[in-house]
Amino acid sequence: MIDEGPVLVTGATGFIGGFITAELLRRGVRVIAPVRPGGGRSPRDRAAALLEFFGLPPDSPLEAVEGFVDRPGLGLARPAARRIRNEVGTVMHCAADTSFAARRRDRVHRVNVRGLENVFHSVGDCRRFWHMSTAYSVGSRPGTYAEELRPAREFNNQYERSKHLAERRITELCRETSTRLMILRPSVVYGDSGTGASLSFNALYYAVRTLLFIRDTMLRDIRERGGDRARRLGVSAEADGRTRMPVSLPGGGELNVIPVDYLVGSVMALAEADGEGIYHIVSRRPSSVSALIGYIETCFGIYGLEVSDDYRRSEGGLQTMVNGYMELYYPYFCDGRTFEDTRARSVLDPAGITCPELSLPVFRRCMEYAVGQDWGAGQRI
Amino acid sequence: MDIVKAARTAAQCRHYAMCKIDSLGTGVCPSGRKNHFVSYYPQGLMDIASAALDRGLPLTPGLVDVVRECTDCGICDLQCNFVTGLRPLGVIRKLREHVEDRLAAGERPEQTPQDPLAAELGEVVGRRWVSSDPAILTAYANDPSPVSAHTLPRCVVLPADTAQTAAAVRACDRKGVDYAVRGNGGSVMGFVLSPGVVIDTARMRGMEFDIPNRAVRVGAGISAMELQREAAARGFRVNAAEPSALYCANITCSGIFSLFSSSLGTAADNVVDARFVSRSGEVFALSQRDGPNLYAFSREELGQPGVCTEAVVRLHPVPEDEAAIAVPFGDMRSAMEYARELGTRRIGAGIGVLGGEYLSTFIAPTSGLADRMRSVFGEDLGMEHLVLVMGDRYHLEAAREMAPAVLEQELMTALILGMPSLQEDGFLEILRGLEGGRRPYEILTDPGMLPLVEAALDPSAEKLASAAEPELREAYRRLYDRPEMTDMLWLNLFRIVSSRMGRDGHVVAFIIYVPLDDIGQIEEIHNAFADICTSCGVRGAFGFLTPLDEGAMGVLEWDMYLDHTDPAQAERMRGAMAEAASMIEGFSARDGRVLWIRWVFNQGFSRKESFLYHGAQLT
Repeated sequence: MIDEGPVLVTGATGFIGGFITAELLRRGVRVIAPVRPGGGRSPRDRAAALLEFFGLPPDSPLEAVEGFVDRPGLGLARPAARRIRNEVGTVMHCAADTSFAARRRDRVHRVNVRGLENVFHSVGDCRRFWHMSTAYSVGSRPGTYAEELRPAREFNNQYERSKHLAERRITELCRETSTRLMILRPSVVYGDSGTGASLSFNALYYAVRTLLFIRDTMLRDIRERGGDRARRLGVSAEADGRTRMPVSLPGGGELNVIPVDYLVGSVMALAEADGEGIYHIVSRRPSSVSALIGYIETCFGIYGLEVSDDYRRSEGGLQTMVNGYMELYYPYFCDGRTFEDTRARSVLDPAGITCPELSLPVFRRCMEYAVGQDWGAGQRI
Repeated sequence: MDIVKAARTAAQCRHYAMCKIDSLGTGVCPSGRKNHFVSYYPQGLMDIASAALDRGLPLTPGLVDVVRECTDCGICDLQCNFVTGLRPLGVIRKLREHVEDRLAAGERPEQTPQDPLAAELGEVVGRRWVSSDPAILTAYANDPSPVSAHTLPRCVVLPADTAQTAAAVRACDRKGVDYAVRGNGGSVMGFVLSPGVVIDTARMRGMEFDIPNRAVRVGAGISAMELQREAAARGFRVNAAEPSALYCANITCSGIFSLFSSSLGTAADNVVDARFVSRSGEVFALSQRDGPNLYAFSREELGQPGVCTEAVVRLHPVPEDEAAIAVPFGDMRSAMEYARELGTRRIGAGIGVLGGEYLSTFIAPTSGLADRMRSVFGEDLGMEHLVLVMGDRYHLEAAREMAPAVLEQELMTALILGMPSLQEDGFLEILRGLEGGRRPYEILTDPGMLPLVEAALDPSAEKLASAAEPELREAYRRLYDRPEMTDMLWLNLFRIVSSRMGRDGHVVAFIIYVPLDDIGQIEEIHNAFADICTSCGVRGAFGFLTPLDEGAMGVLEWDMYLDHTDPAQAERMRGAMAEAASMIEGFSARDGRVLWIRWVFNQGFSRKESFLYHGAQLT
């Protein structure tokens, strides 16, 4: 159930929060968004940039207030704090720190767990709390996971752990206050399947970005500096620019990715249905590393990428970069976890919402968009 | 350059004295080398320009002479820019213009009245080598220390040898005139100012190598750079610190410690003998049985033991295969544990734990590039600290085996010469995005990565020089075409880039001997310094730590920075210095092995064992 609002949306200038905010505004819902100043821009400027990005009118009902999820009371000025406390009945909590870096452990915990508490306590009579989590909060063990909160102890990184702890904490808080809680667990999210648009270019994008960086660097070396370094790395180029890059990638398992338009559509449908509990928002037709290799060769002329179980043993600078990437993302590219989505489908199927497949055209559209945006360098939100 | 900018630039001179040595292999100021008074070197001319252009100086023969003796060769412009970002040549030209305009307007140079003491000293050293000209004296009147006050001496005297020094000291003694001794190297701590006489040892430039005895006799006017260069040409090294420091003065002050002190020791360890002139003008030698016992240490503030006019110091042979590696770490404790382990096992000819920011400052040739690089090593690559290890191939093989990751020389060369591309071409961002359990530097330092790093950064002298001011680019390109300019071993042996730490402000260095068996205590000291900086509004950072005496002890430097021309910053720094002094003494009270170098001051000829382990001395 989505009323006129206002809905408090955290993380509104981020990837998922941004797309959800835009959809709420399109539906005429008033949104209040705590926003940090950043990149030399005020919260209001950032909100205006967000509206412009989504092609929404400047007078859309979006109110950006200066706020910081990692501070008690969100660090809000008194009038904003009072308005949020008195007027907000629904929270869409999307703010998160997605860093996998071990040394950011404290910050990730502060934002993802303490920040969640700060958000919850900043709202007075909150009737609905919609918490954007991740499918990977279930833990790292292979297996099939139902849409339920089960204890877990092993995780692939601090991000997963913090999202698990956050789910437990918000469940407890909502139970104590009889707040209606909906936990949304998407798998890996990429850009809009129809337009390619995105506000974030990590995870799936990062693999492509790294390969393109290496390709372009090697082509420059070959064309402008004699190609000695490319030869040392075993890289060669055809006359038409097709580039052979001999690296090994892991195979096996599956890659569960969903486009952001599917996520947003699902969230809206579940909200309209006044959903409660945990929902897995995942793809029933996961992709694979082999498929991605084919897409990369077709779209970017990079060949020589091979699937090998011994990929870690391969040597050289290219492999070092790939292995560095796989240290982070292997659990998602070759996932042994599968996610039941019976509860989610019971709402989404009647609404006609299905997950688009990561097909070659969709892949091409999203990656071309990312390249056009210089992997986010051209975006200022 | 207008007069206001010239005066402001002149006031920024931080007296690091790199213009007084041939720091870049491009020569040294011919006027300074000929006339010896600091007033003729760019450093002195900057002080004189600051006074003349800002406050006004009387037109004297000395003022006319210093500007007319300058040959306008421009050597100083690159030398000074290389370490501080300043360019003295424009200032000196403005000063000359100012003087010539006054002469053209009919003003005549005014001779200062004859000072009887100066006349007497002139009889000893020759009239040319004594001055009481206000312009000449201005270059001896101040330094950037926030605790020193402008003090114009009565006269300056430059003796040529021990006998002349003794006669000058006796003359001061007879007349009850205070004097200060200065080596004419850097002067940054307020110790070489006097309202009486300044005895400048710059003319004592003897240097005699005694290869069979593995020793060199060095006069008080020889800098560390000159000595090290001559030693290196003969296949040896000396334990030397800042390149512009005068070697004898450096020993006298605190004993010399460098990254090589991990194997060569400090203080008396490298001294065979030395000659002094006592406060009453008597000459004595360190080796003299009935002379003062300078080997002993006493934890009290002592005056200078005398004027050290020459010393005989040890030469250490350098294996041909000596090189350096850098071992990065994500935290201070791991870096210190590694350095201690190397020390304990006697691995490495030289060892130093450096901060990531320190490294960025050292290797970036311009202030702008240093600003952009400041966060690169620490924040972006996760290299919070690194341990520099120098040694022959056996040392380095062992050091590599013990290291979790190694930044080899070739990679360091690529990073230095490709620095402008590190942030611009996306490579750093790619590396940063790969951080998980491993930090980005662990990927960067993988041996297989070198071709990719080189291809991505396209390192070259020309690229690095592009960061310099347009009219200096060609000079920088020629400079960085030389392999030694990126050679970690060479750069640490001659230390020509360490003065860059003062590029954004004068450095107040706190040096403390610390036991290495309690790294937790060192972390506490580090945190206490950082807290003082925060509470006093002062910028500061960990400098370096070198293990001493088989890893038992270490010498720690922590640095604070200020714009010495800003009275408000100077005031804040004085507050920070007072708090730091109290903090250090607090740690010393808790653990007597923590020893502030203040207590070693003027006892640099003592045995290191007598101050490192002073708590164990017989009472």
